[in-house]
Amino acid sequence: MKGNYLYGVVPTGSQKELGPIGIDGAIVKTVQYEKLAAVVHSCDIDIKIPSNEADASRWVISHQDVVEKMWERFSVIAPSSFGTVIKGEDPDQTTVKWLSDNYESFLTELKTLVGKAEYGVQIFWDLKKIGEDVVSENQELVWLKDQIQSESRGLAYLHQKKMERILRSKLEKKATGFFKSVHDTIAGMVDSVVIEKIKTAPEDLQPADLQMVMNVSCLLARTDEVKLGLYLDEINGVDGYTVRFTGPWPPYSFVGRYRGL
Amino acid sequence: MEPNHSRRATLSDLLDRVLDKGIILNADLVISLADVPLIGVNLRAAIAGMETMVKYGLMRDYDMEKNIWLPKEPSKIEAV
Repeated sequence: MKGNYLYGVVPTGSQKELGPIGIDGAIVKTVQYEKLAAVVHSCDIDIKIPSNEADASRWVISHQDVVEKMWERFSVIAPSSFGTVIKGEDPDQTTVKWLSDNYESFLTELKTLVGKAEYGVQIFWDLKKIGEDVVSENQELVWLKDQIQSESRGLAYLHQKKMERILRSKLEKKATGFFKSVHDTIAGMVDSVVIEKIKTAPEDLQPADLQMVMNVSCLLARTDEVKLGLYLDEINGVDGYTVRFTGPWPPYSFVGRYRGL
Repeated sequence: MEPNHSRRATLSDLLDRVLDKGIILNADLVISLADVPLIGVNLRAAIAGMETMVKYGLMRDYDMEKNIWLPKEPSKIEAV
């Protein structure tokens, strides 16, 4: 059975042949319905994604390359996940029906995305440095730290454990407070914020024991990018904090989920 | 600060988006290529080291005029 490998949906009233720019040189084209088009390439539905990492990576990157090119060409795109294939006896017909069934929602959504892009904001803190700051700001912890130096082993151990518990709890509160404050500030500057999972820091970030305390995706007008960047500079400038700002991305995190037939 | 959009530096950010997000269609209409979740796991593990990407020349440039992938230039591949 045949299918249409889907890259995304764009606003255009005319059919386009986009050339062999797709995954593994596949010929990309648009499938039209009124003012909308699905950007696709024809494929068999039982194709196998390469099992080796290099080729699989190439496919994923090709997908993104097409999405970015279409973004540039049509000014706005509702991008599709990698690996989405529209199937049917006549895949073009199925694609047209899908576009027509979701026509108004797609048009509305694309309108809200014009001139906007997605940006990633990740904030890390140096656990050691921040931990030291928290200890120095807290009388009980300062006291415990002093005591531990001169105590017998048993007592020192108990006090050490107590100190760790208190420190952990204070760090959690500090992280939560920080997150809320920064999230609220960013939310006031951008169109929309999606909270992402906390992950381990990328290897290239120094120092090596950074802990991620915030991970969000933001949708904003590209003209607001500088303003957000300036705010992130303030945070990045604080000793012990590192900000990672990525983008502009096509708005993967901000497109709706469309029901099929 | 300016946002980083270097493909090399933001590969894992790309994967988080392109593998897990975007338009999702319902199951009757679409099939996702079955191995995609596994790909996600494998690629993310590979990216942690970055060597695979560089080694296989995944940062080759695409020539928009000619619609072709430009050949690998050894000088552009940084040692990891």
